[in-house]
Amino acid sequence: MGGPRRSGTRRRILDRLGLALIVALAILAVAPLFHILYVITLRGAEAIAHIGLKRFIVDRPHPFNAENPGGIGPALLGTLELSAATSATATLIALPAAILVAELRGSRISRLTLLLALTLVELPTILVGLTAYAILVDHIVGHYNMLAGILALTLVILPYIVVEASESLRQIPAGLREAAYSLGAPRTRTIYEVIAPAARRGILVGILIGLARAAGETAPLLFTIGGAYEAYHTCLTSEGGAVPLMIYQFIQMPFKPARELAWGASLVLLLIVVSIMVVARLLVREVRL
Amino acid sequence: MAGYALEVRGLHVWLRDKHVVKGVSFRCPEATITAIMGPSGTGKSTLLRALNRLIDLNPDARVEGEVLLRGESIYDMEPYELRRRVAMVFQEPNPFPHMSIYDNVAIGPRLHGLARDRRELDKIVRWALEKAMLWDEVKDRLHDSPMKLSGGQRQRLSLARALALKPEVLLLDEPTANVDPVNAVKIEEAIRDLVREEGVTVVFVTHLPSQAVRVSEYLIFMYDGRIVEHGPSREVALNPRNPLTERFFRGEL
Repeated sequence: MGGPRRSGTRRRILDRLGLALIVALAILAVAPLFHILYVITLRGAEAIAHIGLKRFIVDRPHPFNAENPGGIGPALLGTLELSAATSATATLIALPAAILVAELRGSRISRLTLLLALTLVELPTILVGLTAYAILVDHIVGHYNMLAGILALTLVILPYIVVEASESLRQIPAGLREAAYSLGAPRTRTIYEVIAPAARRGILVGILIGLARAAGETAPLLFTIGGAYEAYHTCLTSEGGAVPLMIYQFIQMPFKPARELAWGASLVLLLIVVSIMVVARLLVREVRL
Repeated sequence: MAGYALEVRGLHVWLRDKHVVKGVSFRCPEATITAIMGPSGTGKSTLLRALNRLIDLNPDARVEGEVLLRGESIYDMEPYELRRRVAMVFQEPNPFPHMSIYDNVAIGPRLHGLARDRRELDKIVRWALEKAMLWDEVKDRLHDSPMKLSGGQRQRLSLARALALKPEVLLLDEPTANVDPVNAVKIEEAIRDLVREEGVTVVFVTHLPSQAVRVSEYLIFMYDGRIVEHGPSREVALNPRNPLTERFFRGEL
């Protein structure tokens, strides 16, 4: 029979095994992320190197020209436009909503707003795109247009900003609010001069998360902006392109140059989203009160 | 005989269903320091917040009774103007972290239009920082963040911010509880000078009997929402009439 020494060995072995299992599962959990990064970087870099960086960023695409596949210029510009316009409109709507959620906390309208925002987060984005299609494409403008894309993306990122911003507003210590009131500041000035500025980093992080989503979303754009990559468009009521939508459409084409463009575009999109997220993370780390 | 800066008559405060302040009456003569001492949870801070109506912000609070500021009921005044005339410093140093040291002091005068131009504002800011005994330490970095200051300096900045309102009454809610001894002494000194030189009337809440006796002319001992003893500080310290006061001085409560 095993004495205390043997059961001690057994326990040690079990301990090691348990640890190894946890490490293995952790690796399994993050492995897909690294695989995605690896594949996209490799194939994207290969495609961009073949085409040439400047040409790839600026030129129009030639998906059937194996000699010179061109670039993603118009789609990239479209994504920048969409992201900028979307973040601006979403922020304008989301900030008052976030202030309402945080300031009237406990009231029915605050809880309802938060509930709606949380529901909107969970809503399949394709439904949002469909709604924008029904309103702006089908009814008002009559053809695909960038405004419909902006509307759809705004609805997608709006709830993220509301939730994130209201959360950071709520974390402002009650002492600051009391201090502002004790100086004779009315409620609105307390909010706009003390509470909101003190929470500005958290609010900015919310906007950045929204921006990253706006740059990367595909479904809301499927039947709103039309996917015009051939020309630089100039008007928000005309069709346009966006990088994620271009990837979706070009990767399915049975032509090598089109797929090359899609891989290159994927790397560009990855870099855009990752750099926004890195900035957001750095901001979060700097928050101190 | 100078009048009373502050007069409280039959003040009751309920927080939700809890009767926190139970019929408190007292008067503070002009340019004096009244210390309110008592164990924690006896309603001292709640009482203080009723004097500048900060308690109105708590939807669960209900107040009854009268508070007069120089003979005028505080419920007949604009709460914003009341809070300018009755300024407050809190237990936790709470300068606004997103504003510079200068702006922290200037926000009060800006809110109430106390300065006509930049030069006047500069003067008020400097005056307030000097009165809070902080000027020499921050005069070369007025535009830095207050978060670079030590805890005690931050508390003196909070004091300067309150003083920049040019208040008639100053409410202090355990202002030295979170501050090191050196800074605590500076704050006490600053407050005594204010009373002597500027004629400010001070209500000083503390849970330390020694501090209460040291800083004040009048002493109130509060226990369980009621005033148990009130009188000139030395008298109360030397001959407490109520056994509860005596026990509090002995550290038994």
